[in-house]
Amino acid sequence: MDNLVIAGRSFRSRLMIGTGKFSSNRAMVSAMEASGCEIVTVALRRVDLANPQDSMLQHIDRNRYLLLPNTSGARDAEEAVRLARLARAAGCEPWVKLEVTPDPYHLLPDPVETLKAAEILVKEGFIVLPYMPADPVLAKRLEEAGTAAVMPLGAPIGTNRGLRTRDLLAIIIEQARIPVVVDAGLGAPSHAAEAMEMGADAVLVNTALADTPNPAGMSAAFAKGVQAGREAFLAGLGGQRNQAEASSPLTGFLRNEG
Amino acid sequence: MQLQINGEAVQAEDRIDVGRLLSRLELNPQLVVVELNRRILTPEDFSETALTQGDVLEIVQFVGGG
Amino acid sequence: MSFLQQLDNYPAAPLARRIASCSGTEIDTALACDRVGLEQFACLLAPRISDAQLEQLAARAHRLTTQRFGRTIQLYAPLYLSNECHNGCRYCGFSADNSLPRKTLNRQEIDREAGMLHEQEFRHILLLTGEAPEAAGIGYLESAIRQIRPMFGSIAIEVFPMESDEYQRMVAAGVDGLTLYQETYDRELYSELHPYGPKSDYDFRLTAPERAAAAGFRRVGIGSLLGLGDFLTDTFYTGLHALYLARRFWRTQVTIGFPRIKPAVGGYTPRTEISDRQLTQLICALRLLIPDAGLVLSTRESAELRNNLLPLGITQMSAGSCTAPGGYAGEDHQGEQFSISDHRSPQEFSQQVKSFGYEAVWKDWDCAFLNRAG
Repeated sequence: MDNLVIAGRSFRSRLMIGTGKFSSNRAMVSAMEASGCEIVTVALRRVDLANPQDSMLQHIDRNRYLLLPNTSGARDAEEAVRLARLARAAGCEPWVKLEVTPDPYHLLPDPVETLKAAEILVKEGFIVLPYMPADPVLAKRLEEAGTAAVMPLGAPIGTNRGLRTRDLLAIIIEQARIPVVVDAGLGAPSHAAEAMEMGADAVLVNTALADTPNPAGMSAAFAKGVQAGREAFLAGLGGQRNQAEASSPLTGFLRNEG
Repeated sequence: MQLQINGEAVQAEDRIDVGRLLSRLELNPQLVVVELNRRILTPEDFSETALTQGDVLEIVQFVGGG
Repeated sequence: MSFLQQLDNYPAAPLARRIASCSGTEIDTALACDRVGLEQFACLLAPRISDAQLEQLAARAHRLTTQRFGRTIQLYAPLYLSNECHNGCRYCGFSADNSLPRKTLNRQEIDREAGMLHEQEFRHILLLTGEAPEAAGIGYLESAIRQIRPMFGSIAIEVFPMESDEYQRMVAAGVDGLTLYQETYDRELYSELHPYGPKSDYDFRLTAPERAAAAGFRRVGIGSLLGLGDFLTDTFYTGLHALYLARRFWRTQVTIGFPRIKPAVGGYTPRTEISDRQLTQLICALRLLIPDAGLVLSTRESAELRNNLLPLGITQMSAGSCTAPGGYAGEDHQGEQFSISDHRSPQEFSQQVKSFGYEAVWKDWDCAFLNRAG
């Protein structure tokens, strides 16, 4: 069975779903169900005392989905660590999607604070999945710090622009000894398929599913894209043929051998 | 007495415990996380923890997020 | 997971069959792959490779090497400090079973040898010994390293495998490179060939490069002695080992050597004779598997072959070498580890390299950059 294994735990689905930005809890749940996912991210926010809403948690079957709380909103390592600890106190398993995004315009992850927070959280026993820029050296630093996976971005959050960071993702995938989950920027099932064809272990999608009139339909399509990409990768994609250079032969000397 | 909850000033009866405060606010203790003066409380602590003047609370819950 | 455990995932018999049975089409597919993984690497080692495919392989290796390394060859010189040895390696000139003049250089002799190399413009040095701790052990090495450090920008060692704390001492003394060939990854054959002495410990030797990398060596070199056993599986395991080191010790540069067994004083006959064509194929295949590894070719090989292999992936070469302690100053070559085939002087070599459009780099690194005491 070609399962995704993170921190020793096995998953059938390589598509993770983010639960943000959906128009309703119902839309969110229909997307989750149609995707076949087993891991969903959630965020932590202050309760609005004037208007305490129905908690979205009641709509997520904890037996079916692993909750992956993110630390969105954190602008530095200290805030991220605090959010992770809060999530843990809520009775979650100690999995955390580490997200430190001080820049409110593009929500790009801060590499320095992310590494700092990862080191602290790993020591506290968290299973850390850091959202990070597509930086191969940072990926190795995080791996060294003990994170359970790395989550490099394909393109800035919400832009749906696909694998803008393709070349660097390829290096990260080549060099990683832990799972690589491409997160952010995946706007179409073909983007997800492409990431999987490149050898990514999983993808995380949110905006593309929330921002459509048919979340369930789009979600099912993404699941197929992930599957197709993965199967192609396993089957062994042939590369493009490179033209041989028409310069003088490099191995001619061997044919003069007696 | 006055407390600070989620950045706002809130009046509450003296020595109220966290559990009673949550029900006064109509919040389900199983669905929220409480931080009191920067210390995270476990649900077991709620009824044991009495609040005093000037206490700072953060009450958070899970919401949708990517 | 240590490399020992990873090695168990690739048992030799099925691997050998896989390599031997690769078809022409599979080789074509491997050649066309953007990224060569282990599966493709096995095909690129296949005996069935045609001349045309070999040419394609060489062209790709050439392109990858010039992209990563430019048209440069880094020069180094081996400096044998001692040929005393307690091991009985069946194939080696220094074997304890062989009677040859044994020598360990003293301070003045080290000065003299090192001075000659320095005068020839070498700034990268490889220090070699056998395995005789009482004659040339850790303390001796530390002292030799500190002695010659002011003359050279980079010092590497090719000696006996060490413990972690011993490697740390080497790093502290000023060493930045390690070369340690596993000789063969075939356990059974390994114990046949190393019947006694400390070198008979296969595991200790296999895990030494990891210890060195963890201790802070900037470069770690591995390889198999081609001809001892099944050179195809040994080359595959070398590639596997190199990948393991490169991924786990990502700040460390991995290099691979291609020592091809030659006659030695003990009269050892290699089990297999590897042809120039096969050697070419191995070098190019490894280049495609690990585009960033350094590939090393010594003066064991003839001048002509070295000239031809220069553009196909090699990044480091020795020149004007002597494999006997004290050999640079003296005329006496009786205490050699193996005989040299390329007798060009370093300057001759450097000039010829230039005529091929390559630049010989004498100094690429200086440990003076490092923030270390001493």
